[in-house]
Amino acid sequence: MRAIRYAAYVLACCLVFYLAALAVATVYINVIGSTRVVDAEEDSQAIYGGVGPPAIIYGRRPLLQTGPELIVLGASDALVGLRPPELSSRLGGMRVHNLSLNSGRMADFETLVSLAYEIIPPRNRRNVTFVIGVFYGNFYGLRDSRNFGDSTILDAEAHRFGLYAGSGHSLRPRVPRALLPTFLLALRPIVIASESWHDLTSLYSSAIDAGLGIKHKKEFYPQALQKLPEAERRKVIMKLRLDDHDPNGKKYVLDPGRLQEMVNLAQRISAEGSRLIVVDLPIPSWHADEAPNFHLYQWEKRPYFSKLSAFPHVYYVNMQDGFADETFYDSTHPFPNATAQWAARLSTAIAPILRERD
Amino acid sequence: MVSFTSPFFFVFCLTAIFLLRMTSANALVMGALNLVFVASFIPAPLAALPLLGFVCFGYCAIRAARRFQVNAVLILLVAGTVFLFAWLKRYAILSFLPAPNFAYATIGISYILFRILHLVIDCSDGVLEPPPPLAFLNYVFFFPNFVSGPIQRYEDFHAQVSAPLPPVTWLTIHEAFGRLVKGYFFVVVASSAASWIFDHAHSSFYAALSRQDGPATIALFSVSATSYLVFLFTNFAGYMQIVIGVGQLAGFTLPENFNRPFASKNFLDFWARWHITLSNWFKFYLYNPLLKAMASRWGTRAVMPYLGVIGLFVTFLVMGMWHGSTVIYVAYGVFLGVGIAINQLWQVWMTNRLSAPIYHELRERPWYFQVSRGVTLGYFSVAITALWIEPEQANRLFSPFGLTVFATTIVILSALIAIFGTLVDAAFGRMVYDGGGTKDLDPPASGSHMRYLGAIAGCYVVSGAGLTALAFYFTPAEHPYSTAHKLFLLVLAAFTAFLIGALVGAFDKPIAHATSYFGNRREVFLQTWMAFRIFILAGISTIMASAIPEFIYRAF
Repeated sequence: MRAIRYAAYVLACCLVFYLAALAVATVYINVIGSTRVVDAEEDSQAIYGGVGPPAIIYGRRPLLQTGPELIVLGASDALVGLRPPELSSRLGGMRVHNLSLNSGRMADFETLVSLAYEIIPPRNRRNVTFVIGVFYGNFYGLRDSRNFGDSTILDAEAHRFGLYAGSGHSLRPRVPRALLPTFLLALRPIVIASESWHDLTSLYSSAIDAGLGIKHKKEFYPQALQKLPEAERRKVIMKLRLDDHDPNGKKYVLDPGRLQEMVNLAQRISAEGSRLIVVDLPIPSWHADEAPNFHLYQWEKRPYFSKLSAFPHVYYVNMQDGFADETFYDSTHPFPNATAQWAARLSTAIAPILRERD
Repeated sequence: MVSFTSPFFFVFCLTAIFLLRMTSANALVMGALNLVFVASFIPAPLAALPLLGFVCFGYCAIRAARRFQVNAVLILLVAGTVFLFAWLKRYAILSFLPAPNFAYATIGISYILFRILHLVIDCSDGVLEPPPPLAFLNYVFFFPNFVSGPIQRYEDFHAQVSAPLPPVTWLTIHEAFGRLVKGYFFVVVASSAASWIFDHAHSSFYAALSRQDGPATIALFSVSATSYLVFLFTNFAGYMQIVIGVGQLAGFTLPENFNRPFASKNFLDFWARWHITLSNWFKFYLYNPLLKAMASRWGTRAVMPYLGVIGLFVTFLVMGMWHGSTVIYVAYGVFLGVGIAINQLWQVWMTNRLSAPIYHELRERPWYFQVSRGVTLGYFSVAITALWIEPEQANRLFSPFGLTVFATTIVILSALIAIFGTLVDAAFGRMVYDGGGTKDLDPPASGSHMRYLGAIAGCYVVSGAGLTALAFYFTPAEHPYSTAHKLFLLVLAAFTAFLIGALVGAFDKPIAHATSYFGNRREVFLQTWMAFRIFILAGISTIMASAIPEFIYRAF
């Protein structure tokens, strides 16, 4: 009996500690991150839980709000180039989220839309506008491969802590939809602690490797690249620019299936009553000129993109031209001081579209 | 198969504690619990047959030993038991013999061997009476020490199951919970971390060894060897803490198997602190009889110390061979034997050369302690290479290049451990690895408990931050850590180190002392502190396993 009393007291204390941790985590997120919008930008200045796939999976609660919402999806170019604060200020303070994913492909975009719809209240779906930023790389891949393999980093993140089962299209939460926001809230302390732990162990890992002289493939740090002199940077970029072969020598091919996936996604979003704006994002001219895959994409995309206009509330915006090469720090990503130009161009193009339904 | 983190284990332990307490450890109830526990490791009834056969043979041997009480019979019975054990374990030396042609379980058989031999020898000597069958089965299959010990003596076990179970006091529960927290921290967190470093280093060590890159091989061998030692210790000692804690809650006192081995003064002292019950078993049943036999034949005052050296060498050779069934374990045994023999010879030589009082005084000097401990741990780290090295790489290690690496690594590791130990002691006294537990560091009688607690907490905090600062120093310069990020990581590491201190129980004693004037509220405070430790442990385990207990999802 005494042992049971002891254990019960310990359990009760643990519960209290967890509630305290939850309160601290909530305050932390309010101070460090944002509870108004979801922004998955990988930024070394931001600390824990609010960036990358964890932000997309566990930080979706702001999508619970009602009212006009703009949700940016895409790969790293959309993540870096389409910044929510810059878009929001040009769209009259509209809430803008960015759920883009590094190395994202079309299949990931569909998963991202599903993840967003899990949280968005059904009555607010009509107020939601998705902006999918694409470039030709999103439609290339190894034959019969969804995304350089069968599972993506989104799947891996969703499976962490066992919150989701399945993968890709069949990714589904293991708790009732109605309880999902509560679970996301309850997981906050664990996610923050987990990201912190990961950050610390990554530091030790790289220090041990460096100390032992174990060499890995050189890591790519955009921040470091930005600091290089122009000539040297161009040299590095030329090495880094998108190749048409994977590291094992397999050729990337334009996958009509991925183009069709985009059409299917447009149909789905339209059917849900939301709006979709597909944006062809820019790349520097030297990249476009030297990449045969880009030209093939320009040709092959036309029948698919023309299908988009058949769906209600689905639009296409072309942003491929009009940006100076100097505004890119590598083959696809703009310098931070150039993102305002992207925001200005996009907001000008979509403002009339957004007004349509209003 | 039972894992110590599985829900089955928790449910089983709760049930076992409850039933044993309710029935005052009734032999039948204990037998049923042992049966359930052992069965959880065995996939099919047929797979249990060889193990059961071995235990039956053992019981017959015990009865025969008691009946005949003749040395020749005893030798025959011991040899037969060991032979059967070696055959079932498929020792390389018996590979020419046919083995059972079906998969069978040998879980726990190594420790059952010790229990059976202990009974055979002691019954033959007339020290013990053969236990009744059920008591015998409960002794050899006793669930807390079935898998990996500790090796409890029968008389100790019998005394505990025969007498009424001790009452459950608050202190018993608190101590048991403390052991469980420490044990799970060691097994789930510390050994995983050490294993991660080991995995990181040892494959690179193999690569460096095969390309014969001297400095890299030595550096990587040193890291692999020390990380494996830490892994082995935390895994084994953690497991011991768990089973002793469970035993305590059920009303049993199991023998300790580890006593701060990293504070050993020398190799002999190390074996009095590491896997204590195994060392004691070999001392009682191999070393002592061997020394007695040699002394009766050749014993003179001058020769006795050298007979001791031979006895120790043989004992540790056999102990090494017991650890595994392949040839590499013979090398391991030789290595342990050489280490212990050199230690003993050194003591004999120094005593003869300096006289016992001067040598004793020398041993008490801090620098001697640091050097001696460095050599002990450095040597042992390298000796246990046999437990992890792949056969192909072991062959490379036996080449002239490999042996040079081997010897150099011992020297370098010994020096590094001695230097590290000296620095830690100079900075923090012995608080870090003693956890405030040594007599000389017990808090003063009054006045400065909080200062003492602060000093120990400070040790952990400074160690965590220092280690992280060192990591920043080694991290490639181009890695984009901002100043704010670095600061955050330093604070985080310091806090994590504090939590680790809390989990290993480093603050328990000073907190207990500091709260002594709380009166009745002291128990509540200490229970809350225990809850905090459990909460942190659960959090770290969840993060490391990236998994939330399945029952939470199933509940929905």
